[in-house]
Amino acid sequence: MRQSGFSNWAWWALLCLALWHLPPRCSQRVRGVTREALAPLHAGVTALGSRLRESFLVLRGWGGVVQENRRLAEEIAYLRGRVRHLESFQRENLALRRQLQFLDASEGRLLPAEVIGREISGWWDALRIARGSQDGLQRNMAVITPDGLAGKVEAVQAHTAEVMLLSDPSLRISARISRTGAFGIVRGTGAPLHGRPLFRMDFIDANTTVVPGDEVVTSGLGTLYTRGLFIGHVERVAHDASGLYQTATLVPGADLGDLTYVFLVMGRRVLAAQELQPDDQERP
Amino acid sequence: MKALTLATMLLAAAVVQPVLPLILGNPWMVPPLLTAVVAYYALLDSRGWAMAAALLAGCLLDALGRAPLGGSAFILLCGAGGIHAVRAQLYRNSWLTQALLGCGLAMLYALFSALLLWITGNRTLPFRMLARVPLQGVAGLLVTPPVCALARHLDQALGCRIEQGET
Repeated sequence: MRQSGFSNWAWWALLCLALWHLPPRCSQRVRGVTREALAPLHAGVTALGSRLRESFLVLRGWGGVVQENRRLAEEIAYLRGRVRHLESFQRENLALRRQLQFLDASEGRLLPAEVIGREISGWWDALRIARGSQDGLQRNMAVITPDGLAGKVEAVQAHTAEVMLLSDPSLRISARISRTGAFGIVRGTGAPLHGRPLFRMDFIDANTTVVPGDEVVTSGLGTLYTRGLFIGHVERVAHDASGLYQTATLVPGADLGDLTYVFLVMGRRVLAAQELQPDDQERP
Repeated sequence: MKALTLATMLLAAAVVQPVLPLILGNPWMVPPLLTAVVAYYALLDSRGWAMAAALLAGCLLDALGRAPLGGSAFILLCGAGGIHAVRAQLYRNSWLTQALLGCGLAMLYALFSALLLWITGNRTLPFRMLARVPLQGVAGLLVTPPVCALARHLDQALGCRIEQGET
């Protein structure tokens, strides 16, 4: 009886082994079909859950809603003024660029996308969004939030896509400290139990002065991200063991643990898969 | 009918598991619902159903996640096989047994999937992230009894035969 049980189990295990050795194209297809089939359910449950959460937050903070509304109204009025002011600068800038025969430096439009789930095993800091190849998404597109860079598109299906967040330790990007222009490599340290995840910026020249509060942006030297996307602020700095470089701990601009909407940078140069290294890491 | 229960439970778990951390606003709050479903079938059903549940749950985890296809299924098959082998000595209908086995299976899955990722070179795991393993155990402890009660209720509503677990 025990022997028959073991042989039964062995057959199931062999089936797993066969699945493991499916050709990559075939396993991608299985993943794609499963993700696409479950996407509407994920979107529905996320929308329902978000509404429940908002209702709970409203009930919990009922007393503060009036003040919050007043503060937001003031902020909107201020921001409208700022937008008008900046639009006049943009018109002036465009006119001057035309006179100097510069090319249009805009990096394309932004496409909003709703977040419908996180990576199911919890070992990756990744999101699923309700936009796919039918919306023009391609692998390696930059994903941003109003507060800063969030990550990159990792896999694309017809109506959904997976976004690898910057907080994931496997993602590295080339960055620059705005004030000094010093370059370095930013990588995530994984999501913390609570609060925002922190990033590390390695390989900063030891002779550069870096102070807490310095702004860190994308360098534009790598293959994936446009120049100047805000990443975060320096929290503390230390020399590494060799003494040749400094390492900074960064507080990211975007709250990567609590995202409901993100924006995709469309129209940016997106390299074909064969042009990229297998791990698609940026190099300084 | 039993296939319908299994499909419903797996589908519901696969939908809620990745969405809950998003709603709660904390990426660490991944409830191990799929392993809880596997624990239910391993504890209270025949070997065939237990293995089918483990295989399908593993495939869903791999298809929705980033682990190699079949890897999670293998880990869950081992866990389900282990539970099935020792279940004759257990009070199977007790919520405490279900909670402890759910905790064990969730920790086993978290630990072995981390090892699998590390061995296959898919990623480096900072030591701090291994705190996820005991946390998954606690989450398994909390979610397995309600999942088992729900699956049992669904089985009864659909008129499926449920094995009596008392020893």
